[in-house]
Amino acid sequence: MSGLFQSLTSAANALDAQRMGLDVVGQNMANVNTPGYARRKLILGELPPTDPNNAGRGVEVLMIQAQRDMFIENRLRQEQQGASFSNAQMQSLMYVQAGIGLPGGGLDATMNGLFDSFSAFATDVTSTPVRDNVVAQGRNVAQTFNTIAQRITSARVDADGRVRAAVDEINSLASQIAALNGRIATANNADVETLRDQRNVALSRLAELAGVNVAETGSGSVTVSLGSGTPLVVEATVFHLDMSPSTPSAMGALSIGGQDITSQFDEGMIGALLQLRDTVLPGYMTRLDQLAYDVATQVNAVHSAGFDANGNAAGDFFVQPGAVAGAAAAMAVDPGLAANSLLLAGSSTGAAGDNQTAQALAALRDARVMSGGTATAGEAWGQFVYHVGADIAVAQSQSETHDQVVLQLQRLRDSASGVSMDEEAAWLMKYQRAYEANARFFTTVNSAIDTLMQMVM
Amino acid sequence: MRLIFDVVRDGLFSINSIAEQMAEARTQVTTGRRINQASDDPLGTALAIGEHGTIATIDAYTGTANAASSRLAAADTVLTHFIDKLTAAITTTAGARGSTATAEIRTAASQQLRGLRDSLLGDINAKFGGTFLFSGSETTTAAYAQVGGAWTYQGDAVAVQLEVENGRRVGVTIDGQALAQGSDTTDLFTALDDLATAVDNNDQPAIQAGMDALERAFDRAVSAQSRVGIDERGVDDATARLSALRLAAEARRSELEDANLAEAIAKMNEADTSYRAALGAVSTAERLSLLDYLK
Repeated sequence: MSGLFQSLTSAANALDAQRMGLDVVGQNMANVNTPGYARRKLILGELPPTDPNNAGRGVEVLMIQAQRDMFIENRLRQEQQGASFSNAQMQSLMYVQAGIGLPGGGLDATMNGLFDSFSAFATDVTSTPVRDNVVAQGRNVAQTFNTIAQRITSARVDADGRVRAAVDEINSLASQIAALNGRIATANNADVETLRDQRNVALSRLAELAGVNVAETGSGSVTVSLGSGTPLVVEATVFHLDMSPSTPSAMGALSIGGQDITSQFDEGMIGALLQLRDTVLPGYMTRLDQLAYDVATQVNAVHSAGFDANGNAAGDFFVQPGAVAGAAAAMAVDPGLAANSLLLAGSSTGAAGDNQTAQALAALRDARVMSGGTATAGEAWGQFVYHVGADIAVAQSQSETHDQVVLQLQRLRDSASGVSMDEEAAWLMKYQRAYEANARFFTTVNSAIDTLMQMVM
Repeated sequence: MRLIFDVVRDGLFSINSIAEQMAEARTQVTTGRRINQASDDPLGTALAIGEHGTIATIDAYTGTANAASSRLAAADTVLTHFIDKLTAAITTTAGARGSTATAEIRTAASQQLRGLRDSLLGDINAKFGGTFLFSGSETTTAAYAQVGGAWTYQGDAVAVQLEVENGRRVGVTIDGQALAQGSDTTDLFTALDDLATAVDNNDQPAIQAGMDALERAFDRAVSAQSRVGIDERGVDDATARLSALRLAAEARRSELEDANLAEAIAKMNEADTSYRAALGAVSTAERLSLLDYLK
């Protein structure tokens, strides 16, 4: 009699275990689209017999295991940092590139327009409309320099603003991770896999924003550090990232606990934005300023050596920049000349029809007097455009490579942690059949007990 | 290895990759340009900027050459008239010279010489495009005018030059004094006035001196016209060279910037086919699963 009751208990355990299996399948199917979810697997264990003459006590649920591969998770986070870096850099540079224009349609075209007007001026230095055209073309060149400088400045300010927004998000994610660390550490064997899933999602986003190193401790918590090891999260403690106010002359600096760590960010979206803000875009601006300074200085040198239409010694054509820095943004045609084109110098002798100064101005187009005497104005602009284009092309190439690697790693992660509906359907059938079989076994044992009871009664 | 096809991630990645290729090919076909932003080909873009600069330089030289050609043609025409009038003056003087010329003939000749003087004055004060051709670089001032009863050259000896191609300059104004006076002690107009007076007075030595002055002026005018002719030919040669250079520069620019349309259209069609295939593949990827067979 005790054997039949034990069989009944064994069947009941088995029914519980198979139902648990169905629950796990249901949980997996329900979370097939949940970001960060790692599929669960039911681990069953045989209950051994207590008596050598007994077949066994059935089955028990040992655990519900989340299927994770920590190595792949870490690799994925690292690649996401690189992908995020390249994408952020590419997007910002695209904005700068949009202001450059196509060959023959950007600053090169406006500078050619100015030199063309000097050539036309040389053929007829006495014509007022031709003089007006030279001044208009000079104004066009100055405005084009202004616009490109403004676009670079705007991209820089935009990068600074995006860093500031990212800092807020990083602090929010760090707080979230610290809270999850605390709950995981104090869970006391309760199911922590859901918390780990949530933490992985937060860590993944954090990796996109900034280059982070993640190390798991024995308690299940993770330690998150930035750049060269500055801690952001330790156990349940958060070290908040701060950003100082930005001013026109100084962009905001990043710090933790008062220590400036701006230079430690060299990965993730923030790394890219800081590199753009502090290195790449200022580099472009320096090149543009140098070109603007050279154009203004060279044109002024020739122009001021000539004589205007009234036979008087001429002044500058452009407002002479005081320094290279800021030359592009401040470039403008001399106000006096802009108001009166008779002040334009075409003559080098003072004679009304002499065109030697006009010819010298036109000859500047092919003169290698820019960039320290190594390039023409067109070549210097070509070098600028080349650098911007090459930086974007490199970022694009790196972005494509990172995207491919991230995709491969996501597939690898899915091969370990992803939910397959076919696989779950197979498990569903298996648990369903097992449940049906155990239910039949339960019914049979129950029937045997009934038969035995009727004999007693 | 477990293989899981994520329709959103894997499907969209494939579709987006092909869509990017198609968009690039479509842009090339619709714009006809291979380079639509600097990052498409940074070096090609920089080189194309250089070619645009070269073309602009050539166009500027061509414009200057055309302007020079027009001015030289105008000067050539004026010099032709100038020479014709000098010839007429010489012929008239020859008719009034010697003992056979009557007083009436001399009077008519002197009047004709004064008329030719005025006509030659008009020639040397000719304007083209609003500026004087024979005043050197003082192009807003007439070459000759009577100042205080004397013919005076108001220009200078500096010829305005235009650069019609790299390093080649041509003068487009002429030193009127070199034409009308040269190394003589008096200019052509004073000489004509003196000659007319000499003819009136039948002063044969003075007539001969005037005749000699006219012949020297004739030689100077022929020489000046010859130089103008040489410059005109030089400008024509330069224009032809510039035209050839522009074609070459345009070909280089086109090679750098313009799309090979046949290739771009083929790529677009190929990308379109791949795009449709990707859409089809993704849409059928999860059409069936084991769940469909569960009863």
